[in-house]
Amino acid sequence: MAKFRDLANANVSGEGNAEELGALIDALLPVLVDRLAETGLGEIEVERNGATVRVRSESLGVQQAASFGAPAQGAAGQAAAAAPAPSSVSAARKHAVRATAVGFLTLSKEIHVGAKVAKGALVATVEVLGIPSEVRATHGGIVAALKSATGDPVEYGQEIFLLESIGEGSK
Amino acid sequence: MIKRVLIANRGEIALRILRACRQLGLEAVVAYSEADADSRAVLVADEAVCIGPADAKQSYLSAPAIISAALATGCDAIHPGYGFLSENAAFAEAVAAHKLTFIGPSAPILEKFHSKAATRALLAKHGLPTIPGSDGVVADESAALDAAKKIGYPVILKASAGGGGRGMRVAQDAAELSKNFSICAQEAQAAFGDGSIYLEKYLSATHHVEVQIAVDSEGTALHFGERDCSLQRRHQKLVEESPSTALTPRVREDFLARAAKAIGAAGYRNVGTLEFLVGPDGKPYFIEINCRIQVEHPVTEVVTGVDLVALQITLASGARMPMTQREIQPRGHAIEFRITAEDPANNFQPQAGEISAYRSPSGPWVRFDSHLYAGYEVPPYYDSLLGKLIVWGATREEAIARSRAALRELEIDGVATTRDFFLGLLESPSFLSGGVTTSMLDDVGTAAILAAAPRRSGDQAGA
Repeated sequence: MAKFRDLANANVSGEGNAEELGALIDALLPVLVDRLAETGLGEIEVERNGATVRVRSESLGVQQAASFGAPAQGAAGQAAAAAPAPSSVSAARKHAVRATAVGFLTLSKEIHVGAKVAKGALVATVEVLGIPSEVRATHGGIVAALKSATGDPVEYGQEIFLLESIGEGSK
Repeated sequence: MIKRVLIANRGEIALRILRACRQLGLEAVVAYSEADADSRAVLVADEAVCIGPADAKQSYLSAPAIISAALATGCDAIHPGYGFLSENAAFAEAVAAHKLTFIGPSAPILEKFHSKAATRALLAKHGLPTIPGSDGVVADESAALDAAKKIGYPVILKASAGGGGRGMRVAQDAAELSKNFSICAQEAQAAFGDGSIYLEKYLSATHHVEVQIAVDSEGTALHFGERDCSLQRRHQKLVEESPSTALTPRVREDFLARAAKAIGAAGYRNVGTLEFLVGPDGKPYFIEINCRIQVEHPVTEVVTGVDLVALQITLASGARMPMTQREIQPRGHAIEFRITAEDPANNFQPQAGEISAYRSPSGPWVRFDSHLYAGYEVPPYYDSLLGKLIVWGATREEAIARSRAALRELEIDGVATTRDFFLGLLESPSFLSGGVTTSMLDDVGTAAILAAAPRRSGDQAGA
């Protein structure tokens, strides 16, 4: 369910029972993305137990997929995995920014939903007995959702916010 | 008053402390490293907090991470368990500075009992026998001969700056001492840059016997009997039992009473253990103190019926001793086996990996303190203790018979363990006679003990 929601902004759409959909997406999405990249198809739809999932490539993605498809013989899986953003699904992949220590969180002022963050930017600190532990963005992107707020106690590795990475195309 | 405890440890002891907290009606938060996210203590806990990565230096050994975790989760006390930061005075001081209760002796007490030499001198002053020796460094050969005459042969020459067995030589008589003195001094000079030598009485076959004590904030000190931890491998204890076979009833009574009196008078507080060597003459000599709850504490719990971890927390909260010496009446015999992920057939190589199948022993008078479950992944980062089997019997023989049955019931697949080694040990005449000394494993050999282990009926040939 959660996984489905995370991907809802992307060009994945589904119908049916939420649980069934979640299971279907978990099981099939990586395969579908690979398949899109390999075949150059524009759209794949899968139905199982009354739930339907549709994954649609953007035209750019299709072209990339096609160009990466050629040398992929014999190592199709690897090539597909290495292919940068063959579909909009992976282009909009979200990355969790995580606490680097256990303590109390302070978000940097500029962090709010929709804010653009550069890779390596200082996005928060976790105060450990008065000493700040820096949290830096592991990816560039747009803040998609806040999971913790300034003043919150956080544990090591806890999600602070989600970053939606900006696709390769926008580079 | 303590209301909410951060458990800053892992494995079986984290689980043990969690149980004590629940029994006392206290809330508990289990602090864990990333490598222990699926540990049983974390799964069983009402609350758990990740304090850092697998590397203990950044998690279980990080005072800032642990104290910060206690503050972030609203705890008012920290239980350090054993190992890690449990006897670290600087940590205890930092805990207190953040207005948290350290469950153990306070920082000044940890500091006071930190030095082995100073602790021996202090407790000797309070009436504990220590190993007779020269009063400090001996200046030359003739001084050494004089000292040895007073101590009585055999004596051992030790480098003042040494450690770990280096720079040591035994002398059976004056001629041997004369011969060894200059060699030992030269070796010490070469190894440590300091040729100073001191003498101690040499105890050939020794039992390692320790006394469990507890002292409240007013100085009321009690003892809870002794544990014999003679079966060791490279100074690591493998088996512990109570009572010790090395003490006569008269020696035991006197020595336990003295230990409790001395440690109370010397200013120690909370639970602790006094370690002694018992030589062939049957006399215990004090060697060192452990300022923490010990791995082998269940042996004492089983014979006395006292929950030592609960007592430790109670005393740390400032309460008076909730019992009298008279109420502590050890009964029967208990033996503990440390089941570790080590391969006895391969020089006790530590193992890591997934526990593919697990069956714990049970039944009357059998206790198995373990954090294992089927599917648990033993991480490679920490010590290899998987569980402690503690078995009680009215007599030592009965405890041994029950131990054999319990060990056979225990099944741990996926990693090599010390189970079969202990099954072999329980067939060893030296162990069965009660004549286990600290050198037994060297004398008998691991291979002979393993060979004595009965084959499991279901075992494959050659398995």
